[in-house]
Amino acid sequence: MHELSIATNIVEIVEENMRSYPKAQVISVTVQVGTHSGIETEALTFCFPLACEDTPVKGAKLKLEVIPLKVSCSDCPVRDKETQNLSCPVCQSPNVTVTAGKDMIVASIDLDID
Amino acid sequence: MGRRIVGFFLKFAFEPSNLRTLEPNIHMINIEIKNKVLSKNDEIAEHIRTLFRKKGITGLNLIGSPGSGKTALLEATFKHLNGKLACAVVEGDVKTENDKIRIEATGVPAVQIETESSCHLNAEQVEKSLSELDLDNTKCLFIENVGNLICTTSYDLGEKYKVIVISVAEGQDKPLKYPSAFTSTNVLVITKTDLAPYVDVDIEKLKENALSINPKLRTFITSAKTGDGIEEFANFLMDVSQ
Repeated sequence: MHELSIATNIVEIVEENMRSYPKAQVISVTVQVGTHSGIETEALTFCFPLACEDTPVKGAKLKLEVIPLKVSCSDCPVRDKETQNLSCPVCQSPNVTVTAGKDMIVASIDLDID
Repeated sequence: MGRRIVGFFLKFAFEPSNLRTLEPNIHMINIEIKNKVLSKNDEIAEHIRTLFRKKGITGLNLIGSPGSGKTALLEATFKHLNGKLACAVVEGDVKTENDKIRIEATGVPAVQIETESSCHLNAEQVEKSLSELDLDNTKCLFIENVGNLICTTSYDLGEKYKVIVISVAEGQDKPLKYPSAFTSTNVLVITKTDLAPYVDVDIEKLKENALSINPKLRTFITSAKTGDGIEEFANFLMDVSQ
């Protein structure tokens, strides 16, 4: 259960990025969560409002985009293709590079600057 | 005809659902960020990686469930190595210095991090703890993470190898239940094989399941109790700590 510290990191990143708009209200925060990032999305959604308390991000909605595991293959032309494990979904080669699905990324925020 | 068009326009303009969709957009802006949530941790992990490279240290991050036998694996390995490889250990636990004491009893220096409530180590904690070790005289540095198979996979600690430790008692389908732990690691150590006859587990099936998730896993099948497989693991450490 490390989702509260993850949520706190997200809030810090949002605060850093809204410095030019000190009076703005954060409507929503979009976060991309890889299916292999070790994050439980329900727990993160639960923790997010707690991490927002007493910060300018309070009241923001957390929008999660789940990113599947994707790989590129060194032994066939497959690029950036969804897979269930660390092998090529087409030729089954183990020589693959992960291109998505392992990270958590704060993608964007929507601000009300009224 | 003209009245009908005006009427339609008025109806559209004052339709409550249209007002709701138009109104919030007036003062709303979207800022693209694209910042990794763990970028601060990753930055410190990169410092650690650079430090290890400079000092010629091979870093290994041991992850596994509580009680999977991480400390016992290290104890047996250090006894086998008998001082042939300069090792050191950063121990991570929620509470107590028990594991540090166990490691030090084998003659290997260790430093303990007590996370208090956190279920994983982060790069900042590891970086701070390194100042307590003699890195100039270390070739192989283990970071024994807090017992946990989920949270520990998210945090880069600057290691070269992430080693997943799983005991036979945890069941042969563990890799299928925790795939993200297996896609994050390079090395698998199966432990407590002496218990296999009592816990109804097929070790080959366990290995096969792990390899189905990550075919490149380097696998060791060990028992700290009988010493089986410890030599192979120790030889691997000698090979990667040049």
